[in-house]
Amino acid sequence: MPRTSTLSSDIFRRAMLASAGFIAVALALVWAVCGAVLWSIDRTEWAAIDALTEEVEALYAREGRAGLLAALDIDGSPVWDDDAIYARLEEGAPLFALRDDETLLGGFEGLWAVEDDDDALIDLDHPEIDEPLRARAVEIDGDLWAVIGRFVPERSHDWDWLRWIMTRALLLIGLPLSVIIGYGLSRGVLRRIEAISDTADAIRAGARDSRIPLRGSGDEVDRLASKINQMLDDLAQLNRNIEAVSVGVAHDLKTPLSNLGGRLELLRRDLGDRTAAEAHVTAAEGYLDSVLRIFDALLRLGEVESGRRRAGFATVDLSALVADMTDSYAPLFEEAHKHLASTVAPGLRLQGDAALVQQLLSNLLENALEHARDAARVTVTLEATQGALVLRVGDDGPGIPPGDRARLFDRFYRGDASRTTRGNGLGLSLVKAIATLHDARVTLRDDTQGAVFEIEFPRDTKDYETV
Amino acid sequence: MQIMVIEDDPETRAFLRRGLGEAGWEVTVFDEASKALLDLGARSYDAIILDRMLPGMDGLSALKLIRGAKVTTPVILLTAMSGIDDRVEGLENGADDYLVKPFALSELIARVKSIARRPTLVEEVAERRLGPLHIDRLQRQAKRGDTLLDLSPIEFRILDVMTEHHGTVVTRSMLLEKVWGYRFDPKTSLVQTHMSRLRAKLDKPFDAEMIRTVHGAGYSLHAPD
Repeated sequence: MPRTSTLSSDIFRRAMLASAGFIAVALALVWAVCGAVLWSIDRTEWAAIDALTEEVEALYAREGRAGLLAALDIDGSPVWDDDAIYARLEEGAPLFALRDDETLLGGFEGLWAVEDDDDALIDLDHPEIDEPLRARAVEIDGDLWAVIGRFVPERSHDWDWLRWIMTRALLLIGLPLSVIIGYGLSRGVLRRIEAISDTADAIRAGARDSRIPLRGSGDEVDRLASKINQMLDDLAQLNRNIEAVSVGVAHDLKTPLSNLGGRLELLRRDLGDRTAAEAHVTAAEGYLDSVLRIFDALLRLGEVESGRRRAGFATVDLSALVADMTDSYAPLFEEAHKHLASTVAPGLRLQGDAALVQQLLSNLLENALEHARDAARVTVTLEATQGALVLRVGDDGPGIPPGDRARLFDRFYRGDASRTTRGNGLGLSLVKAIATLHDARVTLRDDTQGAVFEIEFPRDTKDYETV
Repeated sequence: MQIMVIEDDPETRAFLRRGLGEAGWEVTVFDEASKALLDLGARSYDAIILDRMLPGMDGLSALKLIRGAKVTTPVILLTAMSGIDDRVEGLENGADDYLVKPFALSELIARVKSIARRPTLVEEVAERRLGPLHIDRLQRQAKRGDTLLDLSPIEFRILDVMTEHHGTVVTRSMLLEKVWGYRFDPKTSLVQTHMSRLRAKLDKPFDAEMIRTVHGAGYSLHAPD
């Protein structure tokens, strides 16, 4: 797959979407706030014009046309000079014009053009002052008209300007800035993801030992990378195990199979000699049996390790099971000139698979039977501690050499001492697998004399009860 | 005895036909369950040996049909799988026994004899007798003639099973299942050791022996001649 470019990366798209959203919200906010303020100013201004209108009408009612003209009189003339406008603009004072159909009677000429009965925002008709103002023309009496105007106040311009500048700032600075920041951000994250993807490619290409480089910051990407690295380590370990097992299977099958072949060849030669032929067949059956046992053990191991058997867990009377098995095996130990003794605490139960627990104990007992020295005392104990049911199978022999301990539970591993005896090196692997299925811990005690295997079945209140 | 064999593998089929034929039985073989089921309506058999994995209708479905049709002929399932769950599934669906491939012919023959003789309703009997042997199952005591045999609990269980199946071969793995309840095959000579101890008590003090070793197959119990 081609590399993802930063611009088409998911993170960049998300960053852009987020910035666009942010800018849109900010714009909406600016427009809403400024608009509300401007609207309220507009309302206040028109209210002021309403008040002025009433005042003008009241004055006309009281003093008539002459009164109005007198009120407009500045420096002896009711018609205002153009220069008077500066002072009024300065003071923010209202503007007036009084006219009949044809002529300006008083006030400011620039308001002349205002339409009848109309609220309007107009520009002042003045050669030098270009200021917007609100104006209204009111018919006072017959053909007498008054025009009342107020300059748009300064703060109105301020708010308008604020709206304008914010909008441009958001669009012209905020938008490009967010693209740049989003790009940088995406590139950083993308690079770290690419590092993971590169490692995957490298592993696929054969560099099995490649691992994702860590920054050591312990952040979320680092944690992900370290988890993936751990998983790769586990898989590598599993792979090594499988390789070891395959080699083990091949190796362990080769001997009995070649013996079987040899016997078949001898059988062909000795077809005439019935006694010899029968001996060959018996021996061949024996070799075949050991091949089948290896497969049986492997299949069983696979079945146990798959965890499928957990579905069939039931309450197992562990005390009875252990007592029964030690009774069964005691004569075998006697015949091998060894001694089997047991101490079993009564009434201990666990949730498990009885058949598998039997097999576990049987494998440990057979292990002891095979490997304990002559006249050894083998002891089986079952006891309950605070948190566990502890099953121990141990002998009083010289113990297991430290070199063999680490690999004791590996498949097909056989210590030097056991090379010459029967067995396929799967017995203790199965013990371990069965224990693991039951969440139990298997340890080879090294603080005791002899080889002591200890299985600790967890004992939580739900899973055990006393009979 | 009439034996029906349903097995798709020609090698195994030929092996079973010859082996069971030499045991003195009349064997009819089928390679598909559907053909066998048709024949089952026409003839009656003493035992059915049914492969679990068959093309078309598989063994378990065939078994369900057989039992659904109220045919009570004993069935032994053969399987290449050794999972215990499969075994339980087989038995729950009405199989009388279950044998994992590869198996010894002697094992199959012993099991066919054992189930073909089995009464439909197994009663829990309080005592068993065979010639001079008297087994009191309530007291868990065994006597040969007037002599009380001092047996361990396991030896008693072996003798009990052997008496139940007297006259036929009881194989090592049958004993492991019935006496110990083990579904695995211990590497050690567990059965042989306990058997020899039982024989030392049951046969050695007397003139005639009751337990016979059937070479390559197992043991059988007989009234002394």
